Amino acid sequence: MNFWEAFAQIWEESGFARLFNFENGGWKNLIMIGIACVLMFLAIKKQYEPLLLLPIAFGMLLVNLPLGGVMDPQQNSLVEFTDAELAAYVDGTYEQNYPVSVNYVTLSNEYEAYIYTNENGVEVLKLDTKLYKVEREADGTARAIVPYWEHFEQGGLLWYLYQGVKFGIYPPLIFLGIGCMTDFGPLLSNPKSFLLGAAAQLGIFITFLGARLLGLLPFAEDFNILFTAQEAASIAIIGGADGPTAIFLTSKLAPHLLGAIAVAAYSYMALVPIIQPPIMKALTTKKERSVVMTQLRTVSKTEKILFPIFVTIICVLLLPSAAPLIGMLMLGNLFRESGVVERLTKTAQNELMNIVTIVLGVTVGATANAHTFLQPKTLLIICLGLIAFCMGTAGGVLFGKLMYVFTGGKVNPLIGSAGVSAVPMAARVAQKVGQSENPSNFLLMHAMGPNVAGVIGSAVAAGVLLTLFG
Amino acid sequence: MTVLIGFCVVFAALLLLTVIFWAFGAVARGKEKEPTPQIVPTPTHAPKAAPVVEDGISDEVVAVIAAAVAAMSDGGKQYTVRRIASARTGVRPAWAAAGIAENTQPF
Repeated sequence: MNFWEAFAQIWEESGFARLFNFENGGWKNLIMIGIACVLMFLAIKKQYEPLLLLPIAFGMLLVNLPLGGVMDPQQNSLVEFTDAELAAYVDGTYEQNYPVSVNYVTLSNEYEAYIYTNENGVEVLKLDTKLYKVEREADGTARAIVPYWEHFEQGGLLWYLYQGVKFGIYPPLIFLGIGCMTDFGPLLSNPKSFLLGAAAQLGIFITFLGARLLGLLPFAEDFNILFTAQEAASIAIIGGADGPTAIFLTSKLAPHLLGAIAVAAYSYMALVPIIQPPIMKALTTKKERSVVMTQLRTVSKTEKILFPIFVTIICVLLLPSAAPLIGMLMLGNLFRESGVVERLTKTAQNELMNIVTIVLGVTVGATANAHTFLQPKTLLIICLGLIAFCMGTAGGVLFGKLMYVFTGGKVNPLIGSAGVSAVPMAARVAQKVGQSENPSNFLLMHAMGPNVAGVIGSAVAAGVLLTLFG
Repeated sequence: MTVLIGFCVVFAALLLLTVIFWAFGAVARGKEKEPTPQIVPTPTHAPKAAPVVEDGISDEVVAVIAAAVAAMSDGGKQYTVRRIASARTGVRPAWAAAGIAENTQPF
């Protein structure tokens, strides 16, 4: 082999050759690498949810580099012995390269004609060219021994880490950390906020309906835009504006859409300050936006400790499928409010949260390979996700207006928009829009109530969807 | 129909939580409002001089400030109001600034 032949061989076996082999779909990988780079740019330069978008984008990049094999599944297979290996197995002279798994097949009387004793005194069954060792049971029934090689191929790193997403482990752990970081005080001092958190889940259910209705379009089948109930539910949960919930539900209902849904969910969460204000302004009057709300009452420690316990009991009894999310969220909050497990609180909200964020982000990004991501469905998921988000915001604001009317103008409808979770960004947006109308108005803590209620609301909505379509 | 049921279940769950924690709040507020024994202040001496009040400050405001000071000295140390003047405009009051800082710092 001369220099040029060696060089050509190295080139052919490299990822570059696969990437630039456009006939075999290399261009798809190139597009995915481009998308990953754009997402990395948005995360680094524009700081759009960088904590998750950056690992997601890098995972996407890694999985789309040909031959990297980071998401290759572990292979456990049984390989049949060849005729020569079978003969050697009967003689006991086979070379054991892999572990052997043995199957016993009970033979009916008609096979007796094919059984003979070889020169070593071993009973052998001969079928065509294959030889099988035969054993006799106590009653004389013959059974053939069928050996297999146990073939094991190690999976890629991210495939192993992905099992935490697949089995729904990481999102509840993230919720544990969120629980440790969340102060439910504003919600407790104004429990009506729960209703705003519920109203903002409207987007989820409207989008679900929309995604299902798309299937009625005459060209739906031609363009492959038919969504099953499970897929529609996974897309709709984007409207909950809660990344871990969206990942949790999608991993259970439609894992093949995980990449597109996670990217859409986190992108929209980052775009809350751009998406929400026009909707909020369109649905409210200047007078409504200027409402100054009365100061919140102080919440006692006892109330704060009882809150996670009661929420867990009620929500889990009502919707057992929401138990992992609600349970972990409330456990984290109990850690925080009890004040007796400071070490655990710190670990859950810092080290554990950070570790899980890294593996969750990278592995979710790694599910977005060219084959599953570059589909017409992905574009639709992004559009439907936006609709879900807008509808959720509108649902919260409209319910806020209702509360404005019923309380005689004491509730500023803008705080309803914070019901879509996206903590604390959505509450900040409510504060900002409110202050632009009335500079002395401070809605932040009032908006935090619906905001944290939205987290509970979206977890409950996920439980409902899981119960209905899981 | 499924959609309607789903949304209603979410609403019902959070409505139930609203009612429960509203009741919690009501109990907590009730405890806070339990009557405390009132101590009747016994004036030890009369104020020596009337405070200097800046022009443009209404009698109502002076009365409110005097009442606030009286509340502070309730049964304990006595305080005297010597001067009442309006704060500089354009600067946020210290208490308001402290309140905003407390409410916004975690975010």
